[in-house]
Amino acid sequence: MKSTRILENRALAERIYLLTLQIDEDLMNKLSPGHFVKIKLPDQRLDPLFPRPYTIHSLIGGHLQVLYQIVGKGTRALSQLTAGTDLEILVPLGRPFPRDLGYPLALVAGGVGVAGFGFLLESLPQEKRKETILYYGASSKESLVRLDYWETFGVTLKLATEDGSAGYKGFVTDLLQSDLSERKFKSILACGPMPMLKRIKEIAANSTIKTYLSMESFMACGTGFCKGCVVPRKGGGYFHICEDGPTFLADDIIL
Amino acid sequence: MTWKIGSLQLKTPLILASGTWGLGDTILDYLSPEEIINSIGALITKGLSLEPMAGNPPPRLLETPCGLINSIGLENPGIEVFLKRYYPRLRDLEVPVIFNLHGTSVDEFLKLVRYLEEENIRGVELNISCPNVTEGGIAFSQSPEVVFQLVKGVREIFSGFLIVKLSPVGPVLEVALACKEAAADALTIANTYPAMGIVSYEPLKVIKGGLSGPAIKPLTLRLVSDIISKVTLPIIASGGVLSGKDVFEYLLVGASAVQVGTANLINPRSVIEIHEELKELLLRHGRLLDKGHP
Repeated sequence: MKSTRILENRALAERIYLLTLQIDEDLMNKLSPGHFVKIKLPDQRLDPLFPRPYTIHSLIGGHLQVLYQIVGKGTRALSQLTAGTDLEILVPLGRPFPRDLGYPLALVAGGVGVAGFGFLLESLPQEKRKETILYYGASSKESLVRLDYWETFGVTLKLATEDGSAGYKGFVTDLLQSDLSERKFKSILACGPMPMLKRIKEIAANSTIKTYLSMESFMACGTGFCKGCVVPRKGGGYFHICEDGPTFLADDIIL
Repeated sequence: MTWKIGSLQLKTPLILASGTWGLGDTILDYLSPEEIINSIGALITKGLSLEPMAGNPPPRLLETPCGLINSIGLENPGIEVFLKRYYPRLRDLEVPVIFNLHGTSVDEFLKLVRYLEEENIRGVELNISCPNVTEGGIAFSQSPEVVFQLVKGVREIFSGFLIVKLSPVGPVLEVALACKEAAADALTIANTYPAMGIVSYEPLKVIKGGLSGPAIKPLTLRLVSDIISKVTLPIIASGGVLSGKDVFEYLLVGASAVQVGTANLINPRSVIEIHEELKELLLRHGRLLDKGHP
């Protein structure tokens, strides 16, 4: 694990935070979009016991940013830390997003599942960003965060909210589905809650679009040591989300 | 300084517990060979079976206050694949490697051990917390007689160092005495505690598995102390070690060595920190270890 310091830990919406960590250049050069980081809370904390895994959201300005939502005691404890706090991180973990993403590309995000797409878009050349559509859904307008940031990439941004307070009223997957007849995507990369990923998998099964799903899971180790975070593999057995993923070809896994 | 578990000599009393450092193929991503040699006395492999095992469907994990329930289901590639694909790199580390074995019958254990004897493997740890299918699925650890037969059978064909890893529940003392009578070399006390947790309400998901982590340390410390006072076999303590202080306390009650398990999952470099803390405690309070056990 490496020592780091919190530069900022800012609430963007109710329960959604943007954490900025100091990292050195050596470490930064080892990171690729799709990698994740485990963050160990400071002091001899026994509860929560395990450092939580977070997708790398952004490396802009030479800092490592994490976009997270409070879902349990680990994220709640993290949200209470302030700038200047020293903590330890284990990074890079997992495999990066696949390198064979085709364009036009549909990025599909549910809630803070959008996080990893920041680093991905930061890494893409301008011409590929122009061929990317970001479908971003949340429960309401307030939970769609960092819209200014997403707009800086010049991608087409398509929003959906369940309550209709911004963009399309309904699920982001319905928005994607209705676009499929007119847009010929080569790839889909999706990250969000399980019901959303299941729906994307169904959509993919009825098309020839190469579709990847980025999974979220509780992890104990994040390093492949415990074999605890699994997803059933088509053809039998299991993938380990931390070491084989967290991003999988939709066709390879059973949800 | 050297540490002894009976006839087995270790450079440090710290042992990486079975199933808490994967199959060993990524350990060098986090620890250098020098760090391993200097901090770790022995490595105990993931539980290995005759045939490959896919493990349990998810959920396999649930964090509890100061603990972890796991139900991995002994996922492993089988003894043969492990020996070919994973063991060579571990052997090269020049730290004793002890094979943790999982069998569902006495016969299966004997086959595994015969195989290892042929491959000149010098240490095994028998996991007896699993069901014995030939005895109606009751865990080996529930029956001192069956454990005696198992250990006696293994002892007859295995000339290396023989450890039995006890379950913390059931007739623990009787099982420990049976191991002694059947000429085991040491006992690991203990495996995880049977536990259950509700993972989610809707959909309803539950986990039944083993509890590890700092939550169990006081329980296992007591068990180690009780068994040491009644059984004259070297004891390897295993349960909830997160710090050098935890290790020192197990040594204080008479353990010959101590396993580090769940801590490896929190931080793959935990054992290095634990070793540094332990060295300091041994300098300050090491003399207490020669004064008999509390």
